[in-house]
Amino acid sequence: MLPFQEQLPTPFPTSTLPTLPTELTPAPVLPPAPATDGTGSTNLAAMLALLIYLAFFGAMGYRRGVQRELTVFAVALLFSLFLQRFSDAVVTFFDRFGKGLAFLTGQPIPEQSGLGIWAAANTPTLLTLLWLGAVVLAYLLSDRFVKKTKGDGWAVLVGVLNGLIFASIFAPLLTALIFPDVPIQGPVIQLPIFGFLGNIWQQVSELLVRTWGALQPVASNVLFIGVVLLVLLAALTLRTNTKPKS
Amino acid sequence: MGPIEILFVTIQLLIATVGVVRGYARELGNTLVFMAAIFFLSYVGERAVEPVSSAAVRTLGFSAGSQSLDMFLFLLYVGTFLTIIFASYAGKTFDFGGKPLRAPEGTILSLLIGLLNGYLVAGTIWYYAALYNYPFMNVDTSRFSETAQFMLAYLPQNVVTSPVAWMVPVALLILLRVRG
Repeated sequence: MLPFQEQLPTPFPTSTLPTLPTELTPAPVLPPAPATDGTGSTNLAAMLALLIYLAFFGAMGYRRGVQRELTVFAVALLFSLFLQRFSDAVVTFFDRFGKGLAFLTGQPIPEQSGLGIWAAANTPTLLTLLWLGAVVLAYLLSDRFVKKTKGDGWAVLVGVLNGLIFASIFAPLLTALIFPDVPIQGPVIQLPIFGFLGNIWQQVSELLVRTWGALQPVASNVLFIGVVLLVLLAALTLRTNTKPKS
Repeated sequence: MGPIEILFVTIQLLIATVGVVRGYARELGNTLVFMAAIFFLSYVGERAVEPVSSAAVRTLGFSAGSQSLDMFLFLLYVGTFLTIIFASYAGKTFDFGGKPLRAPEGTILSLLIGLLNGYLVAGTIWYYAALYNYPFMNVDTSRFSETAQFMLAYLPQNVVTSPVAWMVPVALLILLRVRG
């Protein structure tokens, strides 16, 4: 099992690619797909949803430029690491802040303030809220203070990376909101990005194996057409400096 | 993955690395040459194998269907192919003009074209090695993994039913190069 994978919720069952009859599959035989018990099955709809979601973040990255996206990425990553490392200090800070409020309002200073008790009991929620606040602030402030650079492929890539980080945080939270019965284990602030990426990789590879199986009668033709299209695409993107004659 | 597929994937990755370093504008010229070479060896080579084998039996003393004859034919075909590859990389190369895309799109395209070139080169060597029963190699084909059998079915010469099909991308590339 990959790290943090246990935090990912069970995929919601949706339609998948149909399985071809075995007699249509000529040699060579593809490696057998894992047993489909519902949890490990390739989820085409989920993959498409992820693709649209990442395309949105990629487009946003293209619009905002690479510097702004890198700023948000750095804040999201570094603040997450900071909160993980200093979670006790954050709880202590909230406790002292509560005591400070009690001092300012003239009330007796308790052994542990109400804010401190709440922070100690709901540390994961507190850290997640702090992280979300920091990311939203990073988006707003980077729009205002970071110079907009020209949108290019790097901006799209960093935008997609931001999308993956946010998905790894938001997806369990939203799933818990939509399906209250699904348990979310552990603090979400642990940033289960590697488990999330591992799960995506597993789903995509299963989808590719199934698609290749479905294409089996014409797989060679598909491969050849793919080669021709790749070569043509590469040749067409070569920009020449020659101007058309008027 | 077994040892044989790792060997050929390593060759492919090495050529892909060269492709990333050189850039796809240069690599496309090599792709064109490789595809033309595959067509030449498949189309002409298929027709030449009988007279060449007969000549080798007569002049070099090989017996028909022997391992020595297989070795000779393997050396002839792969030697010709490798000579063409070397010539396409060395000296004045057949480059495509124009300005390639910037990174990361350009790098991704260079990697893809490099992987394609690696597939064409490593795949062709594997094809002729399999055709002539792996001369110079101690290979037990019955112990091939499923991955190796899968890869064997998709070698460049096995992908198309007629080698003339490889001239379609060659013709299109020449057309695009002439047009500029």
